[in-house]
Amino acid sequence: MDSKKRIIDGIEISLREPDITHYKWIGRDEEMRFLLASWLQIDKEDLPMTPVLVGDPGNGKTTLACASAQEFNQPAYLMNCTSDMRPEDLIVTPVISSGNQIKYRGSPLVSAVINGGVCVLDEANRMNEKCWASLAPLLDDRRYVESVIAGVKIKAHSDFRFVATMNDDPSTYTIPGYIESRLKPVIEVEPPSGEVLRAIVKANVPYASEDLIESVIQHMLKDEDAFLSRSFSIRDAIEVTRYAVRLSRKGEDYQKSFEYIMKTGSESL
Amino acid sequence: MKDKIITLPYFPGRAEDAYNIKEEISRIEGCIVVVDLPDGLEEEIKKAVKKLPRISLIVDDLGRAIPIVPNEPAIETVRTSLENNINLEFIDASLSFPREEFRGMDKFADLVEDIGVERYAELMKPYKYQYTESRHKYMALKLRELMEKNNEILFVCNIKHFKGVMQSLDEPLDVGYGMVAPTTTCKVKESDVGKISSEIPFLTFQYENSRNQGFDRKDAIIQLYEDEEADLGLVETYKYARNLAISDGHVYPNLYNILAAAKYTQDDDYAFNILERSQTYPYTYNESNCIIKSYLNYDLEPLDGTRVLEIKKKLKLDLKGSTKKKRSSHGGFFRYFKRTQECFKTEMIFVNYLRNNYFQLVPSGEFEVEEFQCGLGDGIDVKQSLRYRFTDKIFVKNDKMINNTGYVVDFGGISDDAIFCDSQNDCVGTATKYPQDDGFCWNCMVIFPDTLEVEVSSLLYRVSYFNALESCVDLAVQYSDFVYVFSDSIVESMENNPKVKFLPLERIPQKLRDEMCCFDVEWRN
Repeated sequence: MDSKKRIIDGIEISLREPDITHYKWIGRDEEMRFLLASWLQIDKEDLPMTPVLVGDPGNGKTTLACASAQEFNQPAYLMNCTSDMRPEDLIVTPVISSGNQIKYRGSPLVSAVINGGVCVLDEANRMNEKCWASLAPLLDDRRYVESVIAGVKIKAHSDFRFVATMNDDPSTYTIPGYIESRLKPVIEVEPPSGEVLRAIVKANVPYASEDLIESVIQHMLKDEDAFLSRSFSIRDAIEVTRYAVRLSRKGEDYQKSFEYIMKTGSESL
Repeated sequence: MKDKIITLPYFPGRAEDAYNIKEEISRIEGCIVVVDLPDGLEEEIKKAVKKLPRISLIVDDLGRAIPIVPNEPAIETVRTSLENNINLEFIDASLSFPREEFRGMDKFADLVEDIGVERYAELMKPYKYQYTESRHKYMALKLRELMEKNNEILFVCNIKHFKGVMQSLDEPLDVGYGMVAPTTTCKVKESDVGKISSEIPFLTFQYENSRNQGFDRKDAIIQLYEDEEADLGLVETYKYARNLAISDGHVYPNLYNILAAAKYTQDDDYAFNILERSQTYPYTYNESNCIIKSYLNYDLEPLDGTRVLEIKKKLKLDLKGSTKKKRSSHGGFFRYFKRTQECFKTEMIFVNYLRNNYFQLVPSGEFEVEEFQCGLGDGIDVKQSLRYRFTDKIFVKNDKMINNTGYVVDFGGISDDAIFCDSQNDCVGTATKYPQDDGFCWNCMVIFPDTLEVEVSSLLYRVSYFNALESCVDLAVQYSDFVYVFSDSIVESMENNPKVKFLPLERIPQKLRDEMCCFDVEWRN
């Protein structure tokens, strides 16, 4: 059967393709082990856990989730959550196709539920309580989602795994207690050490010279407390390096411009 | 000849193996028991074993140590043999190291102390093969001698050496006796038990208690996890600890994985409690005759492998215990000031920042109607759809969301100067006077939602000077659907309130905080 379409209880649901991701997780092996361990299923009766990755923006939560899916040999289905999301956006959405026909389109979450794979619910704390409520049976031993719109109950594939990422900063909505108790373990993604940060920047900006990378890292670690207290993130380090490469290629004094980026960047933060 | 040997290999430190060995030794008759403990240390070890369940550590001058703990299979072998009056032989060699490399070092224990146990183990690596091979040969030689004199031998051996010893039995043996390094028997205090064994002291304690009935590690770990607050998630916590052990290549979780599971499925406080409880082993000496440091075992490996897991214990401000001054209902107790226009403007920017960045939307109970795009929202609005039926459009209803969030900002310090209110931005709080001029600095303030239905000045009397934070949080909870508290302290009574979220003050940008913190007044009465 076409993996893009599935008929469930007589209703045809078109599914999404998994995300093509080639994320590489550098250093911090323990965090990946913590995540992979939560997905283990040691016998048929044993159910995988539904973990959450928490940490400040730019620390690599989504990267960790996708890289772990790769390590787990399962496709990753990324789903970005927003505050105006509705339960049907999360599960099955009706769309009007040609001939004014209603078609049912499965979300990345439902695609992972049906095909098997890892659903990465990114920035999940932006979702409201209604959306969480629709996920409750999927996150416990019932392992199904129900689409009210399509009128179907969808059982999860045995290879379905789930991970949510959440920022530690203020959320639009509070996670309801009954969901919080289902989302375990809560794994913290901490900022990396200087050595790991250097390796991450090198891997992400391979065309940057060693000197330039070193200069970015030195600048960020000049005040290590500021780095650890989340004034800068890994994403900042990568972006600043990329920008500095562009400036240096234009023949500008990147050191000077770099100081400017860092200064304005830290002020805006 | 080999058929005279019944072998019982064990994993060092594993209580399950200790129990199986105990059962096997108690069952057999007419056998001599042979164990891979150093030949020449029989007296010291037996003396220390007789003192069990009190734990000791036998340390030699080469920096090697033998922990006398109940769950150690080799030690259980000695203990059971002594209890059952069975003949027992120690056959391991107490070999020395190549001393030329470390000329001048009389006591290797000092070297361990100087350079650290990991570095010491690293230095020993080149000699380890020769050292281990010599021990295997020595054990094989001793076994051969015993086989000639006895009909049946029960050989209890570390699984690491088992193969090497058995292979050496078939080879021509030529090995000299090792020298027996002088030893000291150290009494071990409860706080040191974890340092000398790879087993968790609490599980050692459980093994000791259930030594005659059988040891179930799963039950023991669950007992360690048992806590009133964590009852609901206990199964998940154990399951995660088990998964972590498997991902680490182990059958059972070690302390690191037990704590990681506690931390990530419950919280840091719970993990901290488990860490404290895991170190419990009541059958110990109150005083020790040695300072327990890091040592190597006879395989030249550190006695306990360590990995670091950060556990942050929450420091709570005990407001319940602090002096609470009764709030006065007398209006004259409070003073009234008017802030400058510039300060009002700063306050407005500050309040807008909070309302735009930290908010919780809740359904207002009313609906908004919009054209159907791709979702049915909260159902079709029949009225509107019928009204516009000629356009072929469908209209759906959506919950109208409102923001009814309050904020408490605790800038710190205790005020005895003033309580302010601002009806423009609906806030009230305590402030301290500048030492030099007429300005003030906020200590703690509450900003109400803009839907506040009461006059804010009527809430002035509810703010306490001495318990400003607690009173402000109380007020905010009463008049808001959700409250963000920006403070470096926690109000214990509100910590588990789902309506309240505590965030560190530094979450508000420094610039905004600095501008907001202090203000000038125009006049007062």
